[in-house]
Amino acid sequence: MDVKQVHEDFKKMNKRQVYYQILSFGMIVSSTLMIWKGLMVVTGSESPIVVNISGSMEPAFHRGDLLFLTNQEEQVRVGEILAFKIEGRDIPSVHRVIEVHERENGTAIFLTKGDNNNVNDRGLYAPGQVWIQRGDVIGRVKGFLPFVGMVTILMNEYPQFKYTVLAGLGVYVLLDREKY
Amino acid sequence: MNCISKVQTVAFVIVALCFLQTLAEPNPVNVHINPVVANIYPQEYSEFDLGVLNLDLKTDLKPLFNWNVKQLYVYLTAEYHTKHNILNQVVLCDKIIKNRDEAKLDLKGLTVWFGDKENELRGNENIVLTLSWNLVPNIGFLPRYSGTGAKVINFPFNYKVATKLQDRRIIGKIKQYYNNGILQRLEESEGD
Repeated sequence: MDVKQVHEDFKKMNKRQVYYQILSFGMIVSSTLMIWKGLMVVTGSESPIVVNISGSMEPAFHRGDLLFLTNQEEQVRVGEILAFKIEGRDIPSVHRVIEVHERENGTAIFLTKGDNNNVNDRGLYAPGQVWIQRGDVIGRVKGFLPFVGMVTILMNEYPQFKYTVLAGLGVYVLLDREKY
Repeated sequence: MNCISKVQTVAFVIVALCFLQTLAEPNPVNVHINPVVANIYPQEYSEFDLGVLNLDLKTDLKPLFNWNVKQLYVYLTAEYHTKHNILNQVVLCDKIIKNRDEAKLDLKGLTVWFGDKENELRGNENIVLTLSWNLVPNIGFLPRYSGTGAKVINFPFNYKVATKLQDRRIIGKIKQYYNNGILQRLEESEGD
């Protein structure tokens, strides 16, 4: 759409069209929220889609890969990749389980290690912590999509980029018209 | 705007096909793990007995590679029971295989080790050794499979004492690796 047309459209906008645009925007926001919350329920994970930030799982996952998590009840086994929280760190870690010790009552403890590290994660755990528990686990990585999450990382590291993207989205939403 | 939605649809279909592809179960792969020599060593300055295994491992993972396989994370697991835990699993060594050419494994004299957090390896029986792999696709799910041909071993009750100088050196290195949390790579060890 060329600038002159946009300018004319803008002048022609009346109240009803403005309300319509606001409603459309509200629809987009609420359906996105519904999908996200629905995913949380279906997968059982508080964060069903995450972006991989660290390089400690290379060459399997690189920075910017999108990871899909579930958190079903079934017991954790070695070889699985867990996304888990460590006390004192706000970013969750995504590493592989290399040890499992399970009691008869079902409680279990795990040891993890990044594929790209030689040593296990005990150096990363909180002081005094030797194992990970089921309660620390945000989800288990079941699938992935490379590169797609790079946008999120760029937005976090370059705030100007984030504002530009948000501004661009805002302009698009306000001015996009259903062509009747 | 129309061409953007067309590209989006095509991309979505391609991604969905990749995910579907990773649901396809591959044919079973035979793994040979034998012979295995299992020994228990005491540690002077640590509470954990060290179980050390010396084994030959042979398998061919080439058939698993297809257009949607980025790599195989291959790992050897020891699974055992103790008084405290109904299930213990320990990864003894691992390897990342990125293409078909590296996918044939024929290792002799691989040395691996582990300790039990309740120190119940001495005399522990029916420890199952399995070779497994996590298939990492270019796009898709991340399934895990195990090879057929798991091997069952027992640890003796009596400690082995390393008498020869070379054995003492090897055991010393193993203790260092174990206490530092280093995981052995699934490959021929150098200079034994």
